Amino acid sequence: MTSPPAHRGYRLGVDVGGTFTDVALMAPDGQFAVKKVSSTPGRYDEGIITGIRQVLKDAGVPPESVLEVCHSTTAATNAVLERRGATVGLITTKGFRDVLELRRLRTPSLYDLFYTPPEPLVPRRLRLEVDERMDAQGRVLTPIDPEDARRAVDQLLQEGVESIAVCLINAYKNPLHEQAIGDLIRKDHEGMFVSLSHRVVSAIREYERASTAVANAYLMPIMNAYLTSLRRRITAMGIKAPILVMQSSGGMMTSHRAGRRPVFSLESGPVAGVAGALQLSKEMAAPNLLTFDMGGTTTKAAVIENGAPHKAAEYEIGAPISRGSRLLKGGGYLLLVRAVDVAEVGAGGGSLVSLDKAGSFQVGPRSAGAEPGPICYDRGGSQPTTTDANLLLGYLNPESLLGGALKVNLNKAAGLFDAQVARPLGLSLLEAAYGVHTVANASMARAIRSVTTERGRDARNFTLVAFGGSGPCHAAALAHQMGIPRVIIPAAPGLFSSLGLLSAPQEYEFVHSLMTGSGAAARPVLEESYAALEAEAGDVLRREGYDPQGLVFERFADLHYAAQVHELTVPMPPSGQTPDLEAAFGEEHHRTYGYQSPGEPIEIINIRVIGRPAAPPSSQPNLAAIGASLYRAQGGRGSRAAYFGPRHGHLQTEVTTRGRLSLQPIPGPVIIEEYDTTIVAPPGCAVSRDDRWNVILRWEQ
Amino acid sequence: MNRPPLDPVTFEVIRNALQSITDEMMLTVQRTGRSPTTTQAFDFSAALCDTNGDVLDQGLAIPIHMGGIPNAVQAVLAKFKGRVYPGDAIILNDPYSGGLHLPDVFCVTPIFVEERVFAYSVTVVHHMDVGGRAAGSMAHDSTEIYQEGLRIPPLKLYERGKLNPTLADLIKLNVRTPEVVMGDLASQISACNAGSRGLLDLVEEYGQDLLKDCLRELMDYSERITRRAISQWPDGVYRFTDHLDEDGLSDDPIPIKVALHVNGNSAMVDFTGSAPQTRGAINCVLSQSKAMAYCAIRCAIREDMPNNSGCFRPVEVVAPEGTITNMRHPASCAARGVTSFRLIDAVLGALAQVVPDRVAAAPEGGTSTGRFGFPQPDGSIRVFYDNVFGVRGAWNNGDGRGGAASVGANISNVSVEILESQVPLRVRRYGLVPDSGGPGKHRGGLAITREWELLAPEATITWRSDRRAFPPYGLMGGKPGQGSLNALNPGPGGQTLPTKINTRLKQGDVFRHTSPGGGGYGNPMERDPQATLEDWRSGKVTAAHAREAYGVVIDEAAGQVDAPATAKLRNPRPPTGPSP
Repeated sequence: MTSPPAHRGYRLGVDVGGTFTDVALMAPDGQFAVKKVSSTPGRYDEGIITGIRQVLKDAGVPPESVLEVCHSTTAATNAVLERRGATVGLITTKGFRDVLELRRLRTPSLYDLFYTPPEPLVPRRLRLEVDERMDAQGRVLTPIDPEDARRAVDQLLQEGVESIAVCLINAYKNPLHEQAIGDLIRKDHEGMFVSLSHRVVSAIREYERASTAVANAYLMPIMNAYLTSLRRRITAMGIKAPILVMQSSGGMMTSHRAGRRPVFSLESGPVAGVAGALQLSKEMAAPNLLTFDMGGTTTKAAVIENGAPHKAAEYEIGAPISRGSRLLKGGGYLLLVRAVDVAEVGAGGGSLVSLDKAGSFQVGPRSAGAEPGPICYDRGGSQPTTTDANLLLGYLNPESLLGGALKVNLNKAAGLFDAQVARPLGLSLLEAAYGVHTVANASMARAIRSVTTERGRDARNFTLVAFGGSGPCHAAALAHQMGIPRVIIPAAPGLFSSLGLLSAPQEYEFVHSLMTGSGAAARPVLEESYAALEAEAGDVLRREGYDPQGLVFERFADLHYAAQVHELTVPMPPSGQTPDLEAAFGEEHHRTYGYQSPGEPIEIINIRVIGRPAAPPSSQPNLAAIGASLYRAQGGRGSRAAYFGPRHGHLQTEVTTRGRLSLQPIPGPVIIEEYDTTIVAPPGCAVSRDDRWNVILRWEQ
Repeated sequence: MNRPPLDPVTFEVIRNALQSITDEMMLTVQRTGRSPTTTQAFDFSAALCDTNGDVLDQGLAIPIHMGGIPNAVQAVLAKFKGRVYPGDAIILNDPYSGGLHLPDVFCVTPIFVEERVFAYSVTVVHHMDVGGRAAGSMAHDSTEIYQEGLRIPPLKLYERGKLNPTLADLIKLNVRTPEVVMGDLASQISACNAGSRGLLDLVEEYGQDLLKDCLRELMDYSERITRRAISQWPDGVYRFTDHLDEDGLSDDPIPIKVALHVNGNSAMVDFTGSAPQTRGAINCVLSQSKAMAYCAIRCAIREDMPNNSGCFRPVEVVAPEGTITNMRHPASCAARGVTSFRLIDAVLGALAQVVPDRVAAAPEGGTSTGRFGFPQPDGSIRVFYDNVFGVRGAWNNGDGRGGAASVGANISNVSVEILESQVPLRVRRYGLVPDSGGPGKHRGGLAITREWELLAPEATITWRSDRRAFPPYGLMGGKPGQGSLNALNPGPGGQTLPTKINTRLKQGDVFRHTSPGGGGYGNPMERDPQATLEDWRSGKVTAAHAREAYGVVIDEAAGQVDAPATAKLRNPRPPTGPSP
């Protein structure tokens, strides 16, 4: 990809969520303009085009000045959740038609006689077998019969499939037969979508690989159509720039590649927020951050440690929202896709409060969503939510939100909250509201715990970065509960994800399955394998339009003790020596699980290389400049009563703006109102801003 | 006591935190374990217990273990009372000293607060081998406990953080796979430490008095939910008899009898009348039988509540000593899993008379499971494990599914590719069996079959299965599922093997196990013909079976239901009077 000189380049960040599409325009000097428009589900490109057109017009920037469009979208995720993907056929090895349906058999709940696993994305009649077999060493046992394969393909096409996945036993060792079927489909049926399991993810374990290949096949037609249409319409506007799509692993990839490997960008939305936090981490030289992204329905948490986000090797999609456990429970579709380790819990601003018969109550996972929304929005909601509790506590403006655009009905919220929550629990209205606020925090704490303590990390050693519409309202109390001393609320917390898009690098990961002992004999093989993998990566990226000379590669390895099944990924030490790699693994094992076993045989399972352009993006968002432009105007101030629990009770609390804060901390309670969020600092928590316009909340020790 | 009542907020916060801690314990075992049982199959449990041994919270794991945990902790207390120190890790596996069967090794570690034990972390792992007559220590044909492997009473593997080398050496010498066993034990201790860290964080946050109150209240809460549910059941005595096929040493069917007494807000499960203990190794200790009765009752109460011992307070279990439900020394028990699952089936059979809409027809009858032993050139023996399971019975609103673990043991299957990469076996087939689900208005889940070919010169195999003579029962007019089958070299010249085997394979031999199919629910003649057509399209039933079992005639050429022929088959006589 040959980059024009940077001074000509404007960059667009487009983050499409369920409710809003955020478009950020970044000038070469780091200045930016932004537009929030309604999303247009079903035809997401409508909203995007509207947003881009408006933001360019307002900024007076001609379309041809746009250098690249960085994009994250929930389109693929929603297609899975709503089962709107393609009709997929699956070709498997003879004897293994049902691997996809049998799954791993564990169920997500105990004592449930009626548990029904999710329907496989390919029904049984569209899963066909071909007589062929590789052994575990990759040797051909039964050669593939092209006629037999052709029969299977033809039968699937007769059944009307739009996309074909192929997953053969032991293809991770030798992909020859999968390639043969792929060639045959492409030759006979040009334009047919094909997902070969070894191409999507070359890893051992037949169910996981099949599930990943099938999900990819399921999304290919939809994502291709979407990205093709988006490219066409953006080009028609006069923008002659590539579209880059956020991957679940945190890097950007070309939209052509995203169309072929949509399963790699399923988490692009949540991960864009983490990318924003990563940028913040760099700018502030704060290497250890915990992200806390609280929206209407769910809350997401992730860890940035030593300047890099934690990643997980596999995750499930489509499961009912869990309570944030890292135990893969089998409730969704398993994907062997490396992704930023984002934990999600079903607690957000719109989460419903429910009471059970035995006198306990819960917040979420059901949500009032955007419609009908919380009671106080007065749009038909009649069940109490977290937002209603925050309003009753005095945290939210009792008259209106969104800078006056949304009128609030306090009386209605109080009446229904009292009748449905407070009285049944035998509590006062304020006690009950405070209880809901606190229980929501407990639920969100699980998300944080699952990315910290369950990964052997102590949350208290991190700084919390809170964003999303509701995050800043809960952040201080949540941090206090978890012993986290410091919270940062970045500039423009509601637009944080679209800014993140503009700071993420272009990045491509390549994996090769090794399955070897790490003894001395393996050493030349390791070096050779890395070299071969980098050569392959160079080839692929050249086809994507990159100049191979301008690429840099980083090496990683996945290791485990012999007979373990789960690997830990560590960077290849600079020496390239196997003993150093083993030592690094031992340390990581100790850090994660509390012990290591010196002398026990270690196996290297996969090697990984990450390739990226040596030159960083031409311009990076400058969060300080963004803050200055947003918050220079000081705005008004006032006060209102807010309730901070039985210990502090009802306190008259200063209500102010970010523009009025100084570098000198002031003691809480303080409430800071902004256009799309409200920051709450309880008593005992000091508030200041830093020279980048971040709000800093700090608990007294 | 005059402490103010616990506030509902703290209660909910601590309830969440406990689940998070036991999840983390589970994850630690799975990530750091060494055997296929820990890393892949999830055949282990983790829990936090109070100082009585009552379970405070249990991870998402094995109900079969759940009832055994209090007993194990009590055995530890009985032996070491006053001699438990920080850094201790006490293990046991002997069923006559607090264990369940020898392969399940418990690890109990104390959690100290201010120099006193506040709680215990407990993990139970099904180990790959604990010695004894057969590789994998799961032989069905041992007749006394002494043949089954190394018996460990409560002993300290670590005392004050120091390894007990005598015990470690004894274990390593007596098991076939010392590295794997010691690695899994290390994962258990690591998980117990994680549990301890998590609970100590809570103590720091809330103080031990408040936390104790809350833990007590959590149990009371589960008890209240359980009592309320039971109080809605009609009082009475409900009887059910199910059977095990045999014990593998004789051909005699083995009755399991249940009398379920519902009395106000409590219940009693009485196993009196069940078979005397068997010569074959399928006997249960009392704590095992209790666990199974609790599990069945918990299933019939479809409420969300914490997984703690409070759920079981309203349930009394009676099992006479010397029977298969309460074995007497020196009875053997390695393969008692089949019995455990049958106890659940039997209690559920009784519950189906109480709450028919909350109970499903019988599932496969539990995990069919086996152990392969591969002699190595250096004289050691490699042991591997595999299993076949995941078939559910139908219920009043749905077909039984192939693809969900039994309620008794929430475990996973073993990846074919991992198995083939680790041991000289090739899996030739793994999938569903057409026509095997019990017919019903709602169809039972299809049986699952798996086939292994031996690539090495020789290997040993023990395989445990059941439900061939007594297939999974149907409910409300639903029919039983197809019985299980073991076959050696299936096809011409092949032979059928018994349900429970302990034998040798030679190179090229193919062993096939076909699990039972799940029971059906409701009259099969009332099944929606379109549902049967969809089953036919999916290859789940053949046209012949559709006709015979469901009275549905499928026009195979047209790919449609032949409606007139179906109506005629289902109602052979024309209506005699005017319709109402």
